[in-house]
Amino acid sequence: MPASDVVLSAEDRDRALDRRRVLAARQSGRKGLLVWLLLGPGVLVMLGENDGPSMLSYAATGASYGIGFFLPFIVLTFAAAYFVQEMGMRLGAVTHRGYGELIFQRFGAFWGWLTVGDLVITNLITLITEIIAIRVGMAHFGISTPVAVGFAVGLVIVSALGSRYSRWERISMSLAVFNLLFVVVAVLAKPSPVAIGHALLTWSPLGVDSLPQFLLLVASNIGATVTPWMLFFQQSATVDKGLTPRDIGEGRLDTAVGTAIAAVAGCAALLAAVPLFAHHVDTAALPQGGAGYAQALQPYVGRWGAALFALGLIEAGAVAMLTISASTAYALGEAFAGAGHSFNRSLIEAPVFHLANIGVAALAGAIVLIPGLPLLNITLNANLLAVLLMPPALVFLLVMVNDRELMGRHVNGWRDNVLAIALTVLIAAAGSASVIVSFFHTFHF
Amino acid sequence: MTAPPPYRTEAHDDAELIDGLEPDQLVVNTAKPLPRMALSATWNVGFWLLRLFVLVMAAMAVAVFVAGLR
Repeated sequence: MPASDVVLSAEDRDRALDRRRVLAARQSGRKGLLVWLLLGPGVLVMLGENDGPSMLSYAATGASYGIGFFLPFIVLTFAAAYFVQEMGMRLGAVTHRGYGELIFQRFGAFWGWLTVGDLVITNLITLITEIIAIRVGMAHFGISTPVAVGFAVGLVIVSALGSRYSRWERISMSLAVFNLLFVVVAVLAKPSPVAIGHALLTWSPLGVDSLPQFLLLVASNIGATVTPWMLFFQQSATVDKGLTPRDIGEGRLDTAVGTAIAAVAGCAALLAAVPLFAHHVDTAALPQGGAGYAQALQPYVGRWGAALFALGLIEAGAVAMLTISASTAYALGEAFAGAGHSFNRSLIEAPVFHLANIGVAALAGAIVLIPGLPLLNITLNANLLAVLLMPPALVFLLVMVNDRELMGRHVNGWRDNVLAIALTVLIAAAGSASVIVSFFHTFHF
Repeated sequence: MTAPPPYRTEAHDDAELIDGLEPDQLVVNTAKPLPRMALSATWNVGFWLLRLFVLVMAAMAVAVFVAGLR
């Protein structure tokens, strides 16, 4: 079709405006500006996954087992997350279609709806846990639960105003930077550099004496870094941002930067809670149903340190609210063909997308407000559910990223495939071992 | 196919903006569905086994979760 005959939609026009800046930066050789313009989906997906329950899970690990096996294990899970997310980014940049959209089109509506259905349920449960984390963080400053819920849902609404992907992305990224607050708290906790070095080099001490507990922690830590919503989000955000095959190098850098920041912040959350391990504090007896780490850490990191930990939790929950709600919106928008699935579209142009974005956040908020719900139990099990759903999601990704009809010369190499298959088997084994051992332990078979 | 969404007022015309996007990035082109992949019987069985894995494991996890509430 000649260029003069092309009809641009409002979504195209917004995306084209952003892309023109990228092309100008590339043509003028301004590498720094180019990287800055293309940073986004990778950083957001990694820092979005450093969410409230993940940071609490890392802190719980540090408080229960000190500096040991789980410190290098967290680094390893982030390396795995980079590997998986790079494939999703590449698939999005080459096909210009989201993960859900591709499953619907290539595998049919049956597998499409199953995948999207799984995602919506786990995202709703995860969003509940994000609001719980925000509530725990705000409670440190005496802020009530309804205000915390209003903040979480309001943030999702405000960020989507303006109908521009770039605006939404930059709001989310400016919040995500505060994930590094955990590094400040870790420094205040004065962990032993020798112990950190020893743990990173030797993966010891293990420090866990119960098999079910060990497997649950392994599965939880995997579930804290490699999850299905991340696949949906990064691929769709890559498409929404307008990345092309020429941008794959910068897309990899974006993902690597996000991975590095998130790994440092995740390890910092573990290290920040190590004083509780050193002083034999019973984590089950912590305030706020075992989640009051900020309060418990105050004698060791000071008033400001405790406040920063609480602020970090609020940030972690807030960024995850934005990214996980967005992944739900992308998935549902892609499921209803022709409904529109872009932040570059207005509420009128893409009602399913925007209503899903706000609706899932509002529903999670409403559930948190129900009195008497076992919120802590929900939080502990959310990551496990994500681990169980990951193997099928990875297999679909692998099939698509090896599809030469879709990917052309950008298909996976054999080393990528060997690693991806090994990772899929490992995640399936960790998830199922944790569930089976817990099941037999609980029901005394 | 549904009609393209209405334009917003911008200071650029289409001819100026079109160079910013690759042709297959345009909404009019991404709206066209890709052909369905021809899945072999082996792949179909594999996908069903994975679904079974998820259902069994999720049921066991829910049972443990419910037992934990008591």
